[in-house]
Amino acid sequence: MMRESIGNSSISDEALAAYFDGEATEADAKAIREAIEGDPDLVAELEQLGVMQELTEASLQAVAAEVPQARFEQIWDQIDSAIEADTSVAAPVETPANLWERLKAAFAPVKWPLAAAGAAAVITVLAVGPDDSTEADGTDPIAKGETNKAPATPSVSPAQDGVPTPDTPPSHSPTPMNPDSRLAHGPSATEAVHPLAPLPDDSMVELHEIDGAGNDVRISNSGTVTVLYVEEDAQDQGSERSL
Amino acid sequence: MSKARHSSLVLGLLTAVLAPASALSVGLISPAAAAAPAAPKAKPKAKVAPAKAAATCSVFAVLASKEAGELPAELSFLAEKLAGDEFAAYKSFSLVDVKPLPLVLTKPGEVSLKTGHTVGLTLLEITPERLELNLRLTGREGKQLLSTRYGIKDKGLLMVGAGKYTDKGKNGKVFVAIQCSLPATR
Amino acid sequence: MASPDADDQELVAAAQGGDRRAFQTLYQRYERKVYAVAYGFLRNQEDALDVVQEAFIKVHRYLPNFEGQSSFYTWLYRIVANLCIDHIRRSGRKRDVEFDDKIRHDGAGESSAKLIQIAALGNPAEAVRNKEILKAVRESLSQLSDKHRSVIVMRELQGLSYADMAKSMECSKGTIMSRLFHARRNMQKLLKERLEYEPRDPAEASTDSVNQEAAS
Repeated sequence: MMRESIGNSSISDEALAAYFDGEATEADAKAIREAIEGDPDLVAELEQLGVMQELTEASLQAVAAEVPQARFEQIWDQIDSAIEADTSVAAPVETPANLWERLKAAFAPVKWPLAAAGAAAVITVLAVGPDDSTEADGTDPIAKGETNKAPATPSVSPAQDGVPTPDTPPSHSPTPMNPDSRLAHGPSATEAVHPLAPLPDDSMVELHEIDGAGNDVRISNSGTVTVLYVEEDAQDQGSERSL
Repeated sequence: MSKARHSSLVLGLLTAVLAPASALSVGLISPAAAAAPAAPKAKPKAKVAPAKAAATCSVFAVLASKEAGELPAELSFLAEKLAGDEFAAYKSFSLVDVKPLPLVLTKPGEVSLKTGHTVGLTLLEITPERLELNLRLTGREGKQLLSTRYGIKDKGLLMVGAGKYTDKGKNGKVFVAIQCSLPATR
Repeated sequence: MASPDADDQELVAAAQGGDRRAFQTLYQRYERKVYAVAYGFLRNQEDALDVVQEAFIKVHRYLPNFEGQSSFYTWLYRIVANLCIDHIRRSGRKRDVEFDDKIRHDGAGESSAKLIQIAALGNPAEAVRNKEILKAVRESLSQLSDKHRSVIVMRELQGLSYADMAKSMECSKGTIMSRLFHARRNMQKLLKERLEYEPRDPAEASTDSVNQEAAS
């Protein structure tokens, strides 16, 4: 942490910047307010921070001002279309009868048979990361190692050390909202859903494509259910996000 | 002239550069101008009869906690799954939210859960007793967490372990569970 | 007169109720600000416009989730920052190389009062000079590393809190403070280098160049 003092004061650069940003602790803010009186170097430093902020803001606003209004109107049209698509219901599209066969032939999916207890479960691990369940009881529910998985799908980029990386940027096309689902709230919706349809004794989850938006996705199959673990909280990740 | 020319950097530069009435008006749009709305274009709303659902999905948000507790009645359908090794670290579970999501072929549907997550599902293909779906999970503040295309048996369950959450004072981890059923007539 | 924030909340509430015109008003209110932020991050007009579009589509999609716990523009700016950071990460154009920050900006903090030369006041060339200054600021910003530029944009333009910035960049608050410190110092040094060698008039130009030679 930078502890460069400003002028003759004991106020560090970082503390002063935090004060300028409105992030100083109450104690620091009080000390700085007192120190400012009669300390021209501190005053000058604060003013400089203000100038740089104003200049940065002004320079980018000037850039924004140069964009023709027509471009923003064009963008609004795109946004409007996307919203329209979200809120309208299109007619179902005829799909070829043999699409499923074509999909199976084109992509060799990784299969995780969810067999009944006693049968060996096929497990493939694409990434292993820190997990609450591991810490809690010392056991790792995720088995490691290669399996008899089929080759990865073309849309999943080759993994390095078993860690998948996104090959293509996430699609920019929005996922339209189903207005009916948004209207379903409260106990009546719950009653309509429960009891849940009985779960099959065994089923197979075939994962054709996975994109964790740049983060690892851990796939776990304990024999009864397939769980995909995504990294949502900062502490899910081992290191600072690279930028 | 000396390079080390003393400059009253603040006041002079601010006055010179940032005076609203002066040079910056060369390229800037004032906030007032920016806020003035353009004439909105009238667009008729599409009126299309809703299509019959090709599959009915249920999206559950389940909180798995290390605090002690009993399995509530509304989660009894998951009892066998939650008793497995996968969830051995957790001592209690609670249902935070459940949303129905009827799907028609190729038409994306979406639900927002109380946990702040948004689940997008698209039914891509149906064969006897199997469904092909695209799942998109988005976290709080719009952060995309997962996009996956998968095939699953009718009424099969897929779960996604997401981030930390607190529900009614209980801390834990959110699991999003998705089950899709084909109509009974199939 | 309603405060801008209260006004936003009214528009948001209307948009949440399906009022497309209200949402369009929100868009028009923030279109250029969002663009300015995105341009600050990405330094490219088309990429920045893409982010404007993506951001508002996302905002509309997540409107039901917005419960007013923060102001609308703070929520919007967080979405924009996340989109820009994702964009930089995906584009492969990122500059990971961090200069040795301490060495790079050594000297910039020696005397803050000497940093930027004053622009001449009250003369016809003022408008041109100010445009040059803003251009120099923009170029200096562009020269920063992605991480430094990101914190500068998030703080100086978006006014995001350290906590929000830490969340977007997935690092600690302490890292943000340190990063911001170095970013500001680097920015000042770059700007100083750009501005202090621009002569005001030919007479000064020749004098300046003589002094520079003497000083080096």
